[in-house]
Amino acid sequence: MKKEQKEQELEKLVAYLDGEVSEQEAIEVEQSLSRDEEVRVHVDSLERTWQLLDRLPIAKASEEFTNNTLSTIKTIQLEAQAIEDQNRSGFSMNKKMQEQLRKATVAGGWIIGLACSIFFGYMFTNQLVPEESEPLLSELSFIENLDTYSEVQSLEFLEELSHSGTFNETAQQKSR
Amino acid sequence: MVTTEILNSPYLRDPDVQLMLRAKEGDEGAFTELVAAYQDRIVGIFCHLLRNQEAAEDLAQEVFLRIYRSRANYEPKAKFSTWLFRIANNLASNLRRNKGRRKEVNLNPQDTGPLGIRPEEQLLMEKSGLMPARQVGLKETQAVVRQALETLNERQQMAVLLHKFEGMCYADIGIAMKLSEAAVKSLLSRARENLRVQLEKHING
Repeated sequence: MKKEQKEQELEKLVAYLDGEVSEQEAIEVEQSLSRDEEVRVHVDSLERTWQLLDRLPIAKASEEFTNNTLSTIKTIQLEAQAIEDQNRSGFSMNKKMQEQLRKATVAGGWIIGLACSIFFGYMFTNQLVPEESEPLLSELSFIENLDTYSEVQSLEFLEELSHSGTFNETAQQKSR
Repeated sequence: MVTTEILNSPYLRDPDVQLMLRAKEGDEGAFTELVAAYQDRIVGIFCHLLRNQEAAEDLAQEVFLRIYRSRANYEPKAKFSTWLFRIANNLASNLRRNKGRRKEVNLNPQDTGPLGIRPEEQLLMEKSGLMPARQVGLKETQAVVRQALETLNERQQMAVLLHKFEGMCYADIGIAMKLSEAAVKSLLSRARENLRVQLEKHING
């Protein structure tokens, strides 16, 4: 029998012992068992070997195992809780800071708006309402000579005086 | 939160799945019940694999920690025991890989393991006349069977332990070990044949 075929036969026998074969395969194995002494001996020794494993002592967990395991889990749980709390407080701190930043931005906006209003209001007022001194400044030369103009009394007299040449003679005498 | 997938799960009839769902909802008592129900079974499997009670308990604790950590995302996609042994198998595989990488030997061959005394110790005890004859017979058988089990590769051992001591079917072993049913069938047949060859001399005793 080829090696592969032998392995397949063995798999079928073991699966039969383990109750892992189909109905058809079970019939095939049982037929083989009824007619082949060698197969019967093989199956019997496989079964008895398997039963020998029952002699192995079964180890159990120590008495402290449950408590140790649950305490370790509790520790892990507390650590996780602490990390979660830390994250949550970090998050709330950020939220608080964000709120403060928002308020500061709003306040800053109001201050800048107010400053702009004052500036433009000043500029606007300054343009529309003339200063009291402005007309005085524009008429300064007239004001300075007001006494002289009062003495002259009329513009027609000055024009006649100018045509008479009196000012020219006076100017010539001064230049000499 | 209960999803439609959970409500439609065929595994809801498994009482341990129910306990796990309660643990998911924050019922600490339900989780404690699961630890109490499975601790001996899981420590037993790891003791067979690692031959060291302390290492077995450490690994078993890690299994429960993993289950606890993943409880929020738990969905009953298999029987609870299958899921638990899948985690156990993953951890055992990781341990083997790390052990292989570090070339560490966790177990002192001189130690008396939780699975009984070693053959050389047994011989000494027999010679000194400390053991009654019936006990000598049992201890001898245990030592021989354990030695035979040790000749199997780690995957074969895990499959044998899950099948023999947990009564798991091929399909569930496949889920726990991430193998197809056909692969489990082949793994177990080879394991049982290897054990038969190793123990042939003793099966008539």
